[in-house]
Amino acid sequence: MDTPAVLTVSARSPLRGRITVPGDKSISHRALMLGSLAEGETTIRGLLLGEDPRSTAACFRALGAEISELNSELVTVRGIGLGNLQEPADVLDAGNSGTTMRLMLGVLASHPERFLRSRAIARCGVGPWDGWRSRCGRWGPASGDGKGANSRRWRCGAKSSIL
Amino acid sequence: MWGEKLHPVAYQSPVASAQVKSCLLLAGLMVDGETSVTEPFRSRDHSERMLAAFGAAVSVDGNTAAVRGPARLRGQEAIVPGDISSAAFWLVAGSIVPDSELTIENVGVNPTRTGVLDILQEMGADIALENLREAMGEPVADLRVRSATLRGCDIGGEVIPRAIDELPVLAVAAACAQGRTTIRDAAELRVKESDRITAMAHELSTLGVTLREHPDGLEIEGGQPLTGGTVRTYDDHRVAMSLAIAGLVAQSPVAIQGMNCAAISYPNFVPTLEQLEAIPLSAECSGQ
Repeated sequence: MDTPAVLTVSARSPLRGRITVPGDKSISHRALMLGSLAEGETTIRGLLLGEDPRSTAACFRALGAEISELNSELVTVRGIGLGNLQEPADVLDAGNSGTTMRLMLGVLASHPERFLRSRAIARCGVGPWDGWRSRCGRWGPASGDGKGANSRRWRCGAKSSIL
Repeated sequence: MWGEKLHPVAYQSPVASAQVKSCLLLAGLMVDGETSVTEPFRSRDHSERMLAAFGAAVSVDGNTAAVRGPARLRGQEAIVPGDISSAAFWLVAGSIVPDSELTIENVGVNPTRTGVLDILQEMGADIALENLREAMGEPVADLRVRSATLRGCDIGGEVIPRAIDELPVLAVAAACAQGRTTIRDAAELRVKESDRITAMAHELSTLGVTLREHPDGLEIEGGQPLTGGTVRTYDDHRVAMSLAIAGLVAQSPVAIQGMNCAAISYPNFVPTLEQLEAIPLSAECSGQ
């Protein structure tokens, strides 16, 4: 979709009509996640098409979920079932999506170690996560960064201490 | 050490964060027993609602959400409702552009997200929820807005986390309202895609709005006509779209530089603006 770099808006007459707005981002992420973690098929209508939900879909495809091409009409997800995540071929990439990064930490916590790469960690830092990761202690920074200067790599998985 | 079995926790979170809460509830799906998260106040609850819809044993008691594991999730037919954060632009536009009447169909109206409706209604907006229904545990409605004379109000405290993403466009509503509006307790706005307090303060000033910036919000003197001008978006989609809405009521054209960032959350924003016609849009694709 082409959005112009410069938009000029002028005042004029009344706004009238019926419109729709894009799908809710929070719910789009969660539908992809839970559909991937569920047994059987999930259908998703109204998904938000954007970089962030794409990051979530990419992570779960790498973990074995079959997710059809993303569109706002209909996406089908063949879930892998809790506990059946496959070993990804590469570092999982959460892109610039803070939601993907933080929710994936929870998804991966009870699985063997995986690596998660995230520009969002580099952008936002870990923030409140520092304070409680020692208590829940299942993830932490991995040595080296992700691909590219603006990514950070974390390792995630069931472990008693990260340090 | 990796691969150790997890144990349930009853976690007292120092912050109300849907991401912290969701992370722990997702981890708890695979843990024997009950994993719970208690927050100082309730954050967005989309995870709890959807986990329950997928068959997990979820319970909510006050500000505590819990999941009992191990869980089994079953595939569902999910419908994603429209984003109220995107609908907010049209709620404000329909309120401030005279003689407007818009219906925004199929919008999620989860109570942890509807601060914008509460604030606009307090400002005197004419908004009705029609055809209220439920999808995947989420309340959904068609929102009908008619133009109204808005008045300033005090925005702060409990409503802030339920309206945080909508505050930039509410600042535009405040600029068009009679009297003063104060926005406080919203320091989090400074660490979004841009520093939204400074961004909106600076750009609304450019459009002739009298306001004062506070560390945690804005004080906006409403009711004066907005002038035109050239404004910047700080590469922040919500700032960009809020300024486009301001342009709908300005005395002369408002040129928004960097509008393309709107595509991050709302690729169809400009086409929808065009669909509502009545508005002459001149757009130029420059540079990038």
